[in-house]
Amino acid sequence: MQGLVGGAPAKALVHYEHYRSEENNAAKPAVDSSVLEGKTYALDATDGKLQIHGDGGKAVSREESDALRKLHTDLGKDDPVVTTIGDAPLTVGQPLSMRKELLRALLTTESGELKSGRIWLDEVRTEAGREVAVFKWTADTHSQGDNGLEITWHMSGSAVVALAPAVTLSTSLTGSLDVSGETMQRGARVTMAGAGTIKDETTVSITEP
Amino acid sequence: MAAVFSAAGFGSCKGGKEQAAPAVSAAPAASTVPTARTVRLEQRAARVGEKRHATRTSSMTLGVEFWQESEKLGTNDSSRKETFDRTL
Repeated sequence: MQGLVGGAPAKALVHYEHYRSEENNAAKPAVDSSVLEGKTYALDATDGKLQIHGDGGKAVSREESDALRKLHTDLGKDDPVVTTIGDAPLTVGQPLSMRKELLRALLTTESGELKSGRIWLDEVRTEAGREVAVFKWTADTHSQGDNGLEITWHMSGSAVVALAPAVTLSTSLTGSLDVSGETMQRGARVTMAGAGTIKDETTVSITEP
Repeated sequence: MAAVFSAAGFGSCKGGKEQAAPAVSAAPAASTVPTARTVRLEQRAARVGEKRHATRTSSMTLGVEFWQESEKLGTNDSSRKETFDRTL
């Protein structure tokens, strides 16, 4: 960490010990990329726009740049979970208001419009010498694609947030997807039906200088 | 709830030796009731020089069937997976 905007990390060297991205879809070419693995990049978002440089002046390919821009949207910004929850007193068992900003902070992927949801402070415990708040949540959302595909997302998850200084240490979510919709093919109505799954686990550990 | 049933059964046992026993309250004394823990998130600036090690595993699968008048036209299965381990 080399620089801050406000209190948020904004300038840093990042090294990817491991990176792999896979996509399989019959309608598109398969993706299996480890383009960032083993590489180090200098990132700078102090002026609000992410600048990327290869370590030691190495060139950065378009594929690397695109992947890094998706992975570092939070650079130069305050912790979204902490900011959205705020600094009001929280009591164990107390429900908080689940709103779209908070759901967006908890998710790492777009999942449509929030229909209903709950979030509450489940417990306060000590992890690795830090006091942490464990939030648990559930949410149902709905998204609609251009091709008439409608997806209802049923998700639940948790977020572990260190109390002082407040920082999100881990998030997890699991969910099931219900697919429905109608589209037209060669002038005839076609009905779509299906299902899916979503899973995400992210952890962060911080070493003081 | 179990404590309430227990206390009710105790009181209905008339004439037995137990009746002479002192009444036992189902509720603990006010001083022993655990108070709900209240905390707040304390936002502070990150520190230049600190290191953040992050890992992530995410996956998504989707299977869609296409139907026309009770006839299955086909399916489209897709999956996406991303994993990383990085130090910033």
